[in-house]
Order: sequence, then structure tokens, then C-alpha cells
Amino acid sequence: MKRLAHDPTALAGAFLLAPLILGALIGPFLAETALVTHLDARLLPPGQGHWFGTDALGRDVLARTLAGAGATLGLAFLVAGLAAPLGLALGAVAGSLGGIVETLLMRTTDIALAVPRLILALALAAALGPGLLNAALAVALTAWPPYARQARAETLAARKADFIAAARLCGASEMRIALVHIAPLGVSSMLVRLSLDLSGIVLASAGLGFLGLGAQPPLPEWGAMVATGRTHLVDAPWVAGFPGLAILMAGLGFSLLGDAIRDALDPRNERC
Amino acid sequence: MRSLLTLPLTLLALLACTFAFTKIAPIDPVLAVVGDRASEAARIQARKDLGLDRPWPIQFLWHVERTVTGDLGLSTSTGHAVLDDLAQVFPATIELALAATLIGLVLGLPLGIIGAYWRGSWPDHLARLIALLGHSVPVFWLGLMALYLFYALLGWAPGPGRLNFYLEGLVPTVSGFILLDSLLAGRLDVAGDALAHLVLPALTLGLFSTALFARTSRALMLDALGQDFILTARAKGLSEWNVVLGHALKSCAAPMVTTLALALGSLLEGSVLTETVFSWPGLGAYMTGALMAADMAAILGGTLLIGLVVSLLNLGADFLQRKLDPRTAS
Repeated sequence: MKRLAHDPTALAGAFLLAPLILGALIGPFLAETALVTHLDARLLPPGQGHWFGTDALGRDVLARTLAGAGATLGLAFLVAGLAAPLGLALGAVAGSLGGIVETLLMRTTDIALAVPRLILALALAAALGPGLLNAALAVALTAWPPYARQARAETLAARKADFIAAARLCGASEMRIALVHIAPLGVSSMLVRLSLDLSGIVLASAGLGFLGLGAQPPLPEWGAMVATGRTHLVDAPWVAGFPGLAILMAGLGFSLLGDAIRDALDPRNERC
Repeated sequence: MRSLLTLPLTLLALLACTFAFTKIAPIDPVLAVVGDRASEAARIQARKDLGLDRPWPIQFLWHVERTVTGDLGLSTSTGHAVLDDLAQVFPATIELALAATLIGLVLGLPLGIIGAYWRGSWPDHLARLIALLGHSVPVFWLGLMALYLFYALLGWAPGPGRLNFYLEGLVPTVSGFILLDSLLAGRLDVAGDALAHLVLPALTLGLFSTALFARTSRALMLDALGQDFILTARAKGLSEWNVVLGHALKSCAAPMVTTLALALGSLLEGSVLTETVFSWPGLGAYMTGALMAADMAAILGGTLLIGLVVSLLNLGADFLQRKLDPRTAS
């Protein structure tokens, strides 16, 4: 942790993420401003009163971008919270049970890894219908395989350990051993992987939003805001520009922070 | 051998996914056939005709059979068979993905090699910056900003689309690749216009492949340059050029093939967003259009096509890697 605080990469990441987290915190108070339309103040350029300008319905882009932080970051954390534990549990069960269960689960993981993620998420989101929760579910269901594979590899090393044998002697069921005794061992590497993955998750979620599969209008969500800004790109580039800049900041911030966290927690992966 | 077995399994899993998607989609296929004013008897008849009264496993087998025989259903938004639609739009996507891969190879590979050779130099920092941007930039936003800057503001690049509207339909479609078709027809003006339209979307998508190639080749070259055979090559008195390009780079060829396949696959995915931004009439734009029209047959057809191509790419990369690196053949 101390190392992290002095790492310039981590600081740069935190610096980029800070305004977004601030936005997510004060976003709820701006929710009303973000939705109020002023038809007499359409497509105003950035300037006094509206730092980021206004969109086609006269809504303040700054307020909408800040209010959208909650939706995008919340979606990313929801995906992370669904996919990573799912992968961890599957990997731990596969690794500790072994045999046919392991073969079956790991084959499924291999196949799921070979299928293109964004496309599958897109088709799934299309089938489920648009909406924030459905988008989260779609991205999560395509994001778990790498976690399962990693968790299994770690489990294989642990399943011969003495404390597992002790738990078995106490009469713990195999399922209990897998989920209660083995899975926690994989949590730290799961978190490392997750921190590296978060920027990708943010981008995938924003991409679904851009295609109209995430939050529905008039709710502010960055991907959807970029999509609506498309129509006025030539005369009002700020409408698409600023929310996209926010996605870029989130992507860069999570990438940098993820790199730093990996370096701090995993000395084998020394940055060169 | 194992990868040969994985391919049909992967495709089967993909079919299972698409089958499941049709089941959870809030679209009633019976209603789509008979309309909402049909009598109860007509609806039951339609249900029977569509085979929806049979158990799911049977329906799934039919789904597999139809797909294997090339029947992907009718697209409700275009009114054509999905397979014909896909054949029409896919060349544009391949064109874009290949151009982006080429950009990635031309820019990313040298950046990675130089970065690995002169660690800490400015090309090294540039390579790392590009690698960082490559996986943090939302590609749809980058495309829009590029359009604004180079088309609207500076006027250096043509607008969205694949050709200027007055040049469309001038060359007969032979391969579906406009560049190739216009060259075959001897229309250099059309070819030039097509090339100009290709630049911005290919560069936008190319940032991702450049990042991937720069990152991978840097890591591989760093590893290779530290090996004993490089020391031997230097001790023999070979020139640095020969040592770096002839020996170190050559040893990276096999893993680079896998990266190439990975890049092509990801570019097919990335094209969905890029094509939407640039109104590029390819698979991505087709699928987003279908998305807006709740046209499940078209979406699932596109998903299957991309899944098939990506699986084939993985298989080909596996095979090539074994050919190039005898150590991996066991």
C-alpha cells in the first residue's frame, strides 16, 4: 500500500479517476439538472454558465457528464462483482473436485474464451432487451472465463495442502472445501486481474451504451451521450466530446492503477 | 489434434448460445408470422409449422441442422436471407480489418523492436504510451473526434461511408472489395476515393492493433535479446542488424503469428463500433442496424459468422505456430 502511494503510475491513475469518483458522489444531486431541458439554450458552446456547453435539448453537458459517472462506474463495478466471483467459484470447484467436473468446467471455459466477447455480449444484450442491468449481465457473462482459469491454476497448487486434508478429516464436504477453504486463496490474484480488467469492462459497457443497449434516454450514460452527440458532431462537437473524454479518463485511470496494483502485489511481474 | 477437436465443440457451444438467445429474446416468432389478429387456430398451426411445439432438444437439433445447411433465416429489417446479406457486407469488414492489421504491423512492430533494443529511449516511451492508449480509448469516441478534426475542421479526409455517393455503383462487384474491384475495372479515380475513405476508419481501428503489436513484439524481443543464442551470434561477429532482425526477430515469429490471429479477431469485433461511427457498410453496421430493428436472425447470423472466423483464425494460428516452432509440436 505504501509502495502504491509513491508509485507515479498509481498517482496518475488516481489523479484521472478522482474527478470521476467525485462526479459519481455528487451525481445524484445533479440528477435533476441533468434532465431539465431548456429549449431556448440548445447547443450552446462551452463558456460562461455552461462549462461544457449544452446538448440538443439545452441540457448542461457538464451536469450530465458528472451525473453519468455513477451509471458507468456503477455498471463496471457491477460487472466486476458478478464476473470475478463467478469465475473464482467455478475455477475453485473445478480445481478441487477434479475428475469429470474439472474436465467439463474447464472445457466450457476454453470454449467461452474462444468466443468473441463483445459480439456475444451484444447478442445477449439484444436478446435480453436494453437496460443497464441487462447490459451488466451481458458483459459479466462473457467476462468470467479468465478468472476461472486463473483460479483453477491456483487451486491445483493448494489442494494437496495439509489444511485441506485437515478440513476433510473434520468432515467438510468437497463443495465446502472448494468454496470456503480454497476459493479465498485466489482472492488476491483475482483482485489483481480485476484491476487490470476494469478499463476493458468500462470500455465494453460504454460501447454497449453507445449502441443503445445500456441505460435508456433521458438517463445520462456516457456511451449513450456520445451516441446522441453524433448527430450534431460538426456544429457541436462538445456534446459527444466531453462524455467520451470521461470514458477515456476512466479507461486510462483504471489501466494505470491496475498496472500499479499488479506491480505492488505481484513482485514476479516487475515492470521493465 | 486437440485444437481440431475444439473447433466443432466451440461452434456447437456458439450455436447453443444463439439458440438460447432466441429463447430468451422477448420476441414471439409465432406473432411475427401470423400477426396479432390471427385466430387461435392459425396461431396453433403456425406454432406447429415452426416446430415450436416440439421439445427443446429437438428444436436445438433443427437449429443446428438449419445453420449447417446455411439457412440462417430471413432478416426482418432487410427482407433478404441473412446469409445473402452477410455475404454482401462481410467483404467491407474484411477490408477494414486487414487495413487496420497492416497499420498495426507497419507501425507497431518497429516500435516494439526499437523499444526493446533501446530500452528507455523515446521510441520505447512512445510504444508504451500507444500501448496504454490502445486499450483505454473508447474506439467509437476516437472515430468521432477524428471525423470532426480531419473531416469537418481540416477537410483533409472524406466524410463517412465507403465511397463518395456519385462514385457508387460505377464498378461491377466482383470480389466485394471495392479497392480490388475498381482496380480490376481500371477505374483509378474510384480506387483512389475508396482508399481515401479507408484511411480514417483504418487508422482509428489501427490504434488498437498498433498497441497490441507494439506491446507483444517489445515483450518478445526483450526476452529473445537476453537469450544465449544472441550472445553466440554477437560473438561470431555478425552485424547488429543481422543479430536483431535475423536472429532475435526470427525467434519471435511463432508467437507473433498467434498475436496476428488475435489481432484480426479483435478487429472484427472492434469493427462493430468503428463501422457504426463511420457509416462503413460492413458487418458491424449491419448488426447495429439489426439491433435497432430487433432483428434477431441478423444479429445471431452475424454472431455466428464472427465466431466461426475467429475460431478458424485460432486454429490456423495454432497450426502455423507448430510449423514455425518445432518445440511446440508434441
